[in-house]
Amino acid sequence: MTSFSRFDPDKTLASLRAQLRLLGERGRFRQEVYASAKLRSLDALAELPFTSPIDIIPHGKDMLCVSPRDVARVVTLSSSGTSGAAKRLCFSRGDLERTTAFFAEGMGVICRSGDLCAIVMPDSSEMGLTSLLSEGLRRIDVEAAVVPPRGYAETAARLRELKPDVMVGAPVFLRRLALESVDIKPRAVLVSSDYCADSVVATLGRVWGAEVYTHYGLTETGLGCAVQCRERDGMHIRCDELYIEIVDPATGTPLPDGTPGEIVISTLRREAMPLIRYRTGDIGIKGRCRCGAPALMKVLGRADELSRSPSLYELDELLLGCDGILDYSASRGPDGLEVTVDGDAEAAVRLLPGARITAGGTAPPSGREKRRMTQRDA
Amino acid sequence: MDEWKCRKCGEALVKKKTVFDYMGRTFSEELYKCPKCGLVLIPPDLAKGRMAEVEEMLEDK
Repeated sequence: MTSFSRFDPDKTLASLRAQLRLLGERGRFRQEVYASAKLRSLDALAELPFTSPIDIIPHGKDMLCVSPRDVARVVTLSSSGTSGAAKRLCFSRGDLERTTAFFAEGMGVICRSGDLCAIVMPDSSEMGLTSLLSEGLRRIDVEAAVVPPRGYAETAARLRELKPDVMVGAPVFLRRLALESVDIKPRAVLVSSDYCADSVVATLGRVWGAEVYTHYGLTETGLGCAVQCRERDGMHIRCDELYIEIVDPATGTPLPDGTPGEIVISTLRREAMPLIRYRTGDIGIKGRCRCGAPALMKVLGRADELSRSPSLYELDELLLGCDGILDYSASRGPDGLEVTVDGDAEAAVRLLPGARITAGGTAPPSGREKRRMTQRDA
Repeated sequence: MDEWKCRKCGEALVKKKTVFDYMGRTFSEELYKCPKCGLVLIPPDLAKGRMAEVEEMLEDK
């Protein structure tokens, strides 16, 4: 079992207390709350307030627990639609090093020494995702090649030259790549996104004959959060770095393992910007992998999207389960569901009676997926 | 335009081309700078405007 998969409740409690002390002494956000928190047990964490994305937007600077000169990397996440409202998350060298170490250990399960791994993602600037992942791979004797997605034909041509053993990328992009370039056939694929449909995993496995592993992670989790082991059952949680609660999104009440609820994360060793009870807005189920490790068994999607019917996730399962549909975009309006299909529009008509289906191209690939459905009001 | 003085040195600031280096990219602006100690005056509208835009662009994950 990977070292990050081992959950030690005493160490976790000690780490949470240390994070609270750090926030109480060095931060300026909820300083008194964190400084006076006693945290008698892990269950007592539920007595502390949640942190939301809307806290980070105005208070991010106040959450900093190191001097600005010790911030090695800032990641800005713009909120879609709202101008000027961006979350800025700060990471120290130590924070980034632990992310790299997680990548090395997680990829070590999937890769063999001497493999070539193609990272099919936009190239990041210094100390960004692709840099850290490349460094992690280098440490386990795997050569990394960043292949920024350009267009399916061009990306496929580059991958044919490289002949990678392993590929990492966003699920819907890799699925279409697989359907249009069956011959690439990596031995293993790691898909990473905020949501991945089962039908997409199944298609990648079938078309390429590859072992498909899923990873869930956000910038707030230090990029890495949970990744499957060889069992390809639950996604092992980074227990040395994060403590995950599952709560009722409406009431905030903690929920037991096996019950779907909002994924709430607390950092255990963050230096620059510790987060306590950060609400991700994603719905997931916590449990144990077949191998025994604490895991996220499933991430169902964004809470706000899941409350709509049909949700984007239902559409993904349905439409992307059909090989003839290469991609699609959808919007919900006063006249119902409108779907633009890249590929077999007739199949979409059969699968979605009642929806307005048009054939057309979807947006050019960026390789970075945030699956969203447009909502148009009357 | 009022004259700006460096608080440390007492010198009048002069306009000079200043190069910013961030995350491997550079951009430049003409800014008031102390000719003695090199302290640069960054006006708030630059910090909140162009600098913030460049930062946001580069700080993609």
